[in-house]
Amino acid sequence: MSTQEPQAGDGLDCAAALDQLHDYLKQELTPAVAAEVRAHLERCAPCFTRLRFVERFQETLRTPAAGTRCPDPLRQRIAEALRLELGGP
Amino acid sequence: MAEPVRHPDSFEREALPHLDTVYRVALRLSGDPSRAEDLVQDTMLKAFRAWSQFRPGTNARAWLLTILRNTFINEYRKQKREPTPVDFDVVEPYIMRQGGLDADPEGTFFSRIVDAKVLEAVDALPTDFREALVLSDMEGMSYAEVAESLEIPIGTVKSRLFRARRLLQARLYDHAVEMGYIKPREDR
Repeated sequence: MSTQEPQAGDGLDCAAALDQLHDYLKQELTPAVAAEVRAHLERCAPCFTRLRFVERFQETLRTPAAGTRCPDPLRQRIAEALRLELGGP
Repeated sequence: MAEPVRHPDSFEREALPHLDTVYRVALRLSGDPSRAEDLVQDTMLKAFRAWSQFRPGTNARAWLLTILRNTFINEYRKQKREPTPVDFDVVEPYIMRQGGLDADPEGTFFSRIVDAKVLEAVDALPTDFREALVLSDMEGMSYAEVAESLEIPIGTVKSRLFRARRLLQARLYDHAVEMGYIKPREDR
């Protein structure tokens, strides 16, 4: 990964910005730090490319489970078990 | 029946809506649909019995996931061989040496990998890493909620995620090379 020297007015260097990319995408940063990361990404093409990489990685993790639901027979078995627990019919 | 269970209606209202999440996480923890079903049923029954200990207004999803996770660790984990621990000193430099980032810097190869392969790679992670990654990156939970569910500090959540993501990226990258989605550079 190529990096750039920190520039004047740029609060973060590349290493610091790269460390924050997952947290940035997950909106886990404070507004101040998020703004610093955003400012760095706007002026640093290699780090912006890396952001795309992390975004694609995160998308890849979100999709496989997205449509998976608790199967109806299991749902019914649980409802039945809870009814028995209450001593109901 | 001994003491009647308090507010069964509130269990239905506050706990049952999280059943899909509990099921998905159980699938990834156990790595097997029929074991996941047993795990979910045990979890919901335990939660129902302990419902009087749940503090209304707190996070029911995290509370359920804590029960799920403890049930899994105590009763189910023993039955299955854990994935072999990975030597990170070997894995981490590998993706760098292969020039993975230079060969496909935007990670377009990720979108070519089929879901089943992604799940297989997730399931092969050590349990500590897998559970943090599943809750944070597959289920989209905040670090705070992951920490609450797993009963560990946020700092630990972050360090596990850091390593889990690196490891997973390396595995998916290797798979993408094998499948010819990426042509690694030779000059490293």
